[in-house]
Amino acid sequence: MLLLQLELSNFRSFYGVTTVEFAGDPQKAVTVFHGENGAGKTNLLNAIYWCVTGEFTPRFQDTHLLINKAAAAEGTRETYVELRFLEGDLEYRARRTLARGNSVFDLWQVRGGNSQSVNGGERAMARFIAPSLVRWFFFDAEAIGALELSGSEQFRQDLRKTLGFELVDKLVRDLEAARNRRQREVSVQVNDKALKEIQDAIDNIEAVLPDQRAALLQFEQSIASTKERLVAVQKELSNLPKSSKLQERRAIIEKQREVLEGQKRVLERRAAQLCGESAPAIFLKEMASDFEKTLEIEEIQGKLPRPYSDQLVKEILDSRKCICGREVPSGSVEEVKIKELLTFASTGVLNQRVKEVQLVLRDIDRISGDFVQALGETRASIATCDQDVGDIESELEQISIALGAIDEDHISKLETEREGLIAKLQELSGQHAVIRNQIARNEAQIKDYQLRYEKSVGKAKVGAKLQKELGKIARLMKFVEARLTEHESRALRILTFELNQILEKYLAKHFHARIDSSTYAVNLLDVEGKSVGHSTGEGQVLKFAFISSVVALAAKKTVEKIDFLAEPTQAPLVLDAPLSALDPEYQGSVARNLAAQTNQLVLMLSSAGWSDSVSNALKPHIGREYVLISKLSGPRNNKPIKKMKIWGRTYDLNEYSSQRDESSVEKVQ
Amino acid sequence: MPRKGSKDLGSELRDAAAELQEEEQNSYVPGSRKLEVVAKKLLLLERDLNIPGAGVSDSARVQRIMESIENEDF
Repeated sequence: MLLLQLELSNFRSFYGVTTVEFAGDPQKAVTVFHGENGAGKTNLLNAIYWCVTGEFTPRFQDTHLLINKAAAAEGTRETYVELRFLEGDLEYRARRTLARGNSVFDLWQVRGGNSQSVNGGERAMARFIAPSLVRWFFFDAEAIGALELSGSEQFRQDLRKTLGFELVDKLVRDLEAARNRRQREVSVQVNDKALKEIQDAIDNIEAVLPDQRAALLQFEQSIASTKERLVAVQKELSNLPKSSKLQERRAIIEKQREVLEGQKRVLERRAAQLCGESAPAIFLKEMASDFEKTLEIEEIQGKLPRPYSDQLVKEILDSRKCICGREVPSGSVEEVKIKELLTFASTGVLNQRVKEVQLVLRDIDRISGDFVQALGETRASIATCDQDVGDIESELEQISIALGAIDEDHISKLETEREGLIAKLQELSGQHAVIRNQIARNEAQIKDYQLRYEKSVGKAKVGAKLQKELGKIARLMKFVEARLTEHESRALRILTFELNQILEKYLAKHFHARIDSSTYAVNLLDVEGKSVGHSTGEGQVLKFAFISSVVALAAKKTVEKIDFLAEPTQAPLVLDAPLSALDPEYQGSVARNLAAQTNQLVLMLSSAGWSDSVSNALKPHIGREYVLISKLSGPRNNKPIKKMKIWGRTYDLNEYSSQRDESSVEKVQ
Repeated sequence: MPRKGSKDLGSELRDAAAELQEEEQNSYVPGSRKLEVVAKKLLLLERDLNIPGAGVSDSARVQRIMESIENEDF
């Protein structure tokens, strides 16, 4: 299958009809869709997935809401996804339509521009790519963490299907069933009680084994989907701000703010007190200031204290003789004038009082100055308090914004779901182990009964024809199983070889991969042969390398025309946001490997996955390139416009005040 | 569509193909070749009977396989 074009009509975030074309040139077979979260990358992947299978990737949510919301509001009741592709040399159009709740699939073969309907479209499509394998080719790499290369039965079967062994596995089973029927015919023919009992036992076990095997797969699928959901929930939780920590911090700084506000209140009271106390001082200081000036003037003018004392005046009056020698007669004008001098004459007491007044004035000046200083200091402390409270309030605001971004109910719901998923996993794992043991026991018993049957049947007189048919089936089974083992061993050898080539080329460390031939478990080993966890950066590279190797191997088998027993699968590899899950040091090498190993590669990348190393690795291979733009009808306000630079040109990845909420596709120039 | 991919893997695949051919030519006795022809016929039948939506029951499929084997002489 080679994808040519995808057409969406009112599918999810895509309003109206959206058409994109895929790169198909063998030398430039990579198509890249750039877009941030919510821009529609996963919708695109699921459009293809749904069109091909009628189903969705496990992480795809609200699968009942396929019709674009804006279109639905306008009355549209239909959505479709149409995929044009080449299968071999033939061109097809596959369209899946959802109209009024009913899903319809149509397939047309395109000849000379005319479309001719293909009968049994779903069946034909399933032959192009088996529905059970779609998840390997149309891969939601955001969930790569949940991909387990653990060798579960489901993993083994998926891999066998991808490598083309599914059909031969079915043939082996049918040959076993055919043999059992012939053996029953023998039991009836020879009428041997022992043979009949053995065959009854085999038939009884064979009757329950398919259900047990189906149950085992069901448990594995449930375990896989539960693990996948658990990974998604844990990732969502880890991406959310830690509300408990934020709340703890908020409680601490709110307490600090409370203390500071208390201190501020004390300081404000002190300031008010200082203001109250300093007011008379300042008033007195103003008055005293004038008074001091008067005193100073008087002093300068020599009027204060007076240059003569009361003692001197009294002595003049008593001696009736002035200090200049003139007589001062009693009752004379001179005596009256000299007596008047007594009014203003300085005395010791007066001099003392003047001194005291001057000291009081200086005290008033000092005290009022102290008030100003104390008030200044208090006001500075209040300002410091205000600043600290301001800082706290700023942090509280940030916490409030962060907490506001958290949907408390959502977190609580996720936590509950997480606990439920863990409990469910434990239960499923227990049930899985029980059923696996039952299957192993039953398979061993069948082998045992079969040996006993073959031993017993040798003594019985079986008709020649029946004996011949039994012998033919036995020879065929032996032959097919032997050939299958050979091919399986080769396929795993090539896969291991390819994986190790990638790892040797791209990993800084000398790790190598080993695939267990019985369980298909893929192990990453260090130089000492010790197992390296899949959750490491190298483990993630291994997963990408493994997927691309499997897809590449399945495709190359066709081209190489190796005589495998069954037809392999050849399909494009479509990966949603694959590179952001990797350590940056490996992104470029993985991108290069994906491009090199696949016949057609469709990548959906966020800006986080578009590093220089990735763009350089993909540049020679890109044939088509698009930007998914997230358009929102609401106002921009303070929200940022995310930009992305692609080949020197900057693209806006989101727009506001649009006519409606929608994803739009712009071709990269 | 022309093949892409690493040359080394291509060599590995070609080696595997050559290995298989050699095994087929050297190891298989005429009886085995006949077995291979029958096995391939049965695989094609199996594929046709397993097409999704073909509506062939497990029992009917096994019956068809048995009939097909019965019609072959090996």
